[in-house]
Amino acid sequence: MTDQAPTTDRASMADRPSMTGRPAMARWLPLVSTVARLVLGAVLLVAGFLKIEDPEASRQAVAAYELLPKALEQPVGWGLPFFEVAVGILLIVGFGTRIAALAGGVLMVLFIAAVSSAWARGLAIDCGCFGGGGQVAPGETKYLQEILRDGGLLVLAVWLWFRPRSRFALESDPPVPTGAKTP
Amino acid sequence: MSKAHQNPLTQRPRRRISAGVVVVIILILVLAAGVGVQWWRTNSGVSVDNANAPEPTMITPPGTSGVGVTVGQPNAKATIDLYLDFRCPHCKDFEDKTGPAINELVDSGAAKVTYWPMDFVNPDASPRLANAWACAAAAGKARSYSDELFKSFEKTWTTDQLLELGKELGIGNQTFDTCVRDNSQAGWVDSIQGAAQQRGVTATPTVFVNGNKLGDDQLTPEGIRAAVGVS
Repeated sequence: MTDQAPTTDRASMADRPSMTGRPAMARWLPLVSTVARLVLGAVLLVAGFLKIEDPEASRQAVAAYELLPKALEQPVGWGLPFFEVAVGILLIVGFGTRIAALAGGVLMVLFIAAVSSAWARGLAIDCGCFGGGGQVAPGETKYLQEILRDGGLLVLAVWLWFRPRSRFALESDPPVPTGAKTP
Repeated sequence: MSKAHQNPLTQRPRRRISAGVVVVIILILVLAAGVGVQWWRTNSGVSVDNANAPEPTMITPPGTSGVGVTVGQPNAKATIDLYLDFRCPHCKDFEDKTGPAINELVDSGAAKVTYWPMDFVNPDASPRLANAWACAAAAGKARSYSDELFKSFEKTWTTDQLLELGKELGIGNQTFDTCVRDNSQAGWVDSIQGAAQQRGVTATPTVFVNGNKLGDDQLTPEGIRAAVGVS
């Protein structure tokens, strides 16, 4: 921290002192997006991987929410972890960041809704976010932490939706128009 | 680059597929592939590495209402009660970690084990698996069948897979097949639930050693050995 503060100051001063530090902003905003990409991507990647190993536990974790019809428990329990891994990898490499962030954000909204609903209905379950899941003792639920964590990740996803351009990305997104109008 | 110096304004617009479309296609394909992979993993054939693994002596076979299946040497001093559900992920973890140590205690004659197969974790599958295990226990393969069910926990364990496992373990005869298909041990499995409830067992894995319930921190090889009195 103490090493970086002067550098940032100097940059904003030197670049264009009269323009309220905008060039400096332009420099660090993509970095913020990079961090958001990596954090959201890494969490999704890890969460997905931990669930892929055990399809039966993953299905049971879905079933424990008592939200989906039986026929959907298996496809969701089996498919969702792979979906998370894919979104996570896309975010980490920085390809199609905006759409990947949208997918991640939608996942977070769904997770928050599902956990809140379990909480409201008085279920005692583990969210199964990182594998595991299913019933827990009534005193051992962690709904608030789970919702806050997903809320934080949702903020990152929203940020990336509005500022998808970032450093160290495979693709600068949105693509820069080449002058021709696209249909 | 080679065709430099073209005026971009006079160029025909190039059709490009946007990254967004590519990403959507990738995500849909991954989702489908994921479901496919897991379907294959859960429905693949059954194979047993060690079909002739040592099997402890049967002391109490299944069938007596409210009484678990006990195996081991009859004069073993300690008794370990295992309350497991074959569809309980934590039981899978427990078995991976502690199963070999328990088998060792039984083989050395330090302890006998009583199995109490529970059937509440997955109402669609647990009772079927508990029944099939009881059929296998009646055929003398209590330990091997249990070990294999937990080892391949990712499998769906359809009735066909349960029969195949029996065949692999060398007990795949008419009696076993009928027992599995007709759910012949369902009544006994039910009685085990009642007995467990009376003992206050509401979660799996639950382990007693000599009648004392072990805490979660004791559900390790060291914890079990210490409780049995072997270091």
